[in-house]
Amino acid sequence: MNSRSRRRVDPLLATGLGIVAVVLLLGIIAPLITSHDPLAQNVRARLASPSGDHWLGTDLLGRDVFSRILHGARIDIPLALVATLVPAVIGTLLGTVSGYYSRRVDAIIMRFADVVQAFPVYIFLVALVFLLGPGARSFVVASACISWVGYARLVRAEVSRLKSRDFIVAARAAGIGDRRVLGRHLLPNVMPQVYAYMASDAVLALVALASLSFLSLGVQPPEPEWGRMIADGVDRIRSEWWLSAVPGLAIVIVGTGFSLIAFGLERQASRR
Amino acid sequence: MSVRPVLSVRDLRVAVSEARRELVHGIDFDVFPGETVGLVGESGSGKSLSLRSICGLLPEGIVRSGGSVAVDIDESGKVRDGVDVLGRGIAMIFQEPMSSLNPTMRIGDLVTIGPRTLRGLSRKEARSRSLELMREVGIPDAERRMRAWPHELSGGLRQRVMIAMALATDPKVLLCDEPTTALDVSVQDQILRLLMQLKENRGLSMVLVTHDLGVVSQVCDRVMVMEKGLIVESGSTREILNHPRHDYTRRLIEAAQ
Amino acid sequence: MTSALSLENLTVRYPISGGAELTAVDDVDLSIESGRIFGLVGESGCGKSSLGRVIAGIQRPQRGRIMIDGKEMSDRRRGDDARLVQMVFQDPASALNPALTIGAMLRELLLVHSLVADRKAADRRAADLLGSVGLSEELLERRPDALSGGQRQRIGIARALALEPRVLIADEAVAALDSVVKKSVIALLSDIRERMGLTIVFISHDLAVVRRLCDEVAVMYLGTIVERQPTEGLFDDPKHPYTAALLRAQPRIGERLDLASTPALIGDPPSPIELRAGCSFASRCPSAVEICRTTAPEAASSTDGSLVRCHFPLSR
Repeated sequence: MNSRSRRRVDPLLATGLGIVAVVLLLGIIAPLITSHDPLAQNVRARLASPSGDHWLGTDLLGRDVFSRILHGARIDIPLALVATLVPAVIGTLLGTVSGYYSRRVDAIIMRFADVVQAFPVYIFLVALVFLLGPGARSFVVASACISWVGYARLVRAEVSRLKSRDFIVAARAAGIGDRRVLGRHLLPNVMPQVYAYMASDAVLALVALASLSFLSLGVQPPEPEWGRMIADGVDRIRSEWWLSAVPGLAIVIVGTGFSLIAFGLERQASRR
Repeated sequence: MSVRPVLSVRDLRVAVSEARRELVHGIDFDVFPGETVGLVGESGSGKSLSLRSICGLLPEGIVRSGGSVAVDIDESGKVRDGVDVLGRGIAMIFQEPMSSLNPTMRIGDLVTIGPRTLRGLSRKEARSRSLELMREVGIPDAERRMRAWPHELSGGLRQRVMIAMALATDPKVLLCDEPTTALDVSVQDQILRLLMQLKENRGLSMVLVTHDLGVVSQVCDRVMVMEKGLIVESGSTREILNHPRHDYTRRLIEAAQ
Repeated sequence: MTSALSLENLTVRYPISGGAELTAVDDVDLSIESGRIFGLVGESGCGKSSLGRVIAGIQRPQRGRIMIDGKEMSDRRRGDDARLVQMVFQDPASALNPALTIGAMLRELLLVHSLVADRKAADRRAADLLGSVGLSEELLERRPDALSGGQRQRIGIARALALEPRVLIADEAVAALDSVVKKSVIALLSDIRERMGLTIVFISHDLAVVRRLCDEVAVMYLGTIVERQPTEGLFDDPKHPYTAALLRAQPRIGERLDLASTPALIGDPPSPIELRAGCSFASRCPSAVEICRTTAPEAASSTDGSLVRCHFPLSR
């Protein structure tokens, strides 16, 4: 009865996955939903109000906002995921090594972590992206340089907690090699927490990407990125408020989706 | 005039509050003044939950779902529920003295924390009372140990501290939840002796939850055997251990020998 | 006759805060004949668990030699050496990997050590192993959280047996079990010894269980073995005052605590951090005299392997 209740997917997790999947799907099938090219400018149709043709109106350059919002899902969601995945892999590896092996390796890795954590996250992120040059790739690289720390600390703590548990001791005493002990016995018991952490980290990555783009350091125009779109609409906030509000709402929806996934995964992990 | 029980439990039921799943299915028993009653069974039999529900110290999510607990210790003969007299006539000691003692308090302060908050004992009074109690429970070098932290004491001494904390509230009924299970036999022997001494000197009534029939044989006057949330057999210790009638009791005794 | 297990001058120390050291096992010599169930008893902190873990190769000794069937074990056991001693743990809940099914766990052990030719043979062998600990092979597909405490402990034994060890260390292996289940697991251990000729070191604080199961018993106090005897002798005619006190402290069914009698033992064992001169038990011994506090007694052994470390051993 126990194993069945674990297999049942947590309702929060299912809702979150559903939200993110729907938005992502809308992005993928965007060309089928709207005939407007998200990049096509039309100076004569600038700042049009929502209508049957332009469901959400047009922006300063006369581009269809609805089409841009949908296409934005193709940029923001995958980028946020990559910017989560890369540091997650790096952090998990370093955390595992740190928690499992000698004190010296642990000390070196954790000193690096301390250095990274000594800076405020956003200032560090902006500074790194500035140094690397604006763009999506810089965002991913900078995220990797910063966010691995959280994973490393989480995994290190879990690994060193589990390391002394009898089932790990038994596996080692049975002559199973270190790499196998790590891969088959330790990590599978740590990963549920890592997944939950990744989902909450994805929220941060999504917001960080939008913020950087807002500051012109992220995805470069004319690509329809949500944060950039908010920035573009800021000047018209009193009249054409939807220009900023709709991409903002898109970020909130996807962010909520990731958050729900995180909650659900955490609940599942703690239930074990 | 017949002697009235100090503790009277009727149709006591304990359940998981959310799932409405019942774990203890209505048990009845009385404890008379100066008596030690054992409550034995295997893990999951509900013995510990029954004990805890008497004074309301149940784990999160588990509630007393029915029945009554009447404690009669007031001179005036007023009968009250166990939950209302916790720290005012009923006290409890646990299996794990380490997790039951606040690690951030010194022993001397811990022992009288109860009466200090309940009865407003002054600091000085509390100190001398602590010292008195620590001597009563046989903590050697009590003066010096007043300033010790819980983690600096051995398991046996910690259990003595917990007993002193319970005594600080001047209980008439002491509920003991596996008080010696975590201890070595030599220390168990000392703690059981201490409990018996207290019972004689103070006229304490005790309910002792344990899985160890040897312990029951040593200290209990009467014993109740629990299985799956029910009392399946009860009687005097000698009668139960020598002539068990219920199959489950027989199995327990046989397995313990 | 060669011993299945022999220890020479085994010493285990732990560093503790402040640069001091705690001596858990103090220069222990021990040899156990093949096919015996050997009980190791003593109070918590006496070093019995440390000794077990060192024998199992989980922990390294500071000094001394461990020999299995006359072959010296290195500090880091590889290949077949890693199989020779296996351990059964106290807490069956933490001793099994929650992420692996029982079948996957057993299969891995069998394949890593090439004890079977292929996956199919591993599955067959895993099913056999469950049978040999009295479990149905349906459990192969289950994860530990779907099993009862008794079943988990049987799985723990099956895991140890999978590696075809010479010596099994059972560290408080039945302490967490209810009495009825406990009895059946004890019967299983006894049965395994009969069938497989395994040598079992049974570490326990529970004298009643030790009496029921073991052929021979050693009593540890503060890191040293103070007495060793065949089970019957130890329980009926203890030679060391500490053994006698432990036996007296054990509550037995049918006996009532007599407050007029003197307690079996007073106080706690002294700290293993600052070992003093003389007999380690002198501070709690009812019959200690001057020499006990100044000179540590030598172990006096007799031909049958019995041993007592006391200036004034008890006689019946």
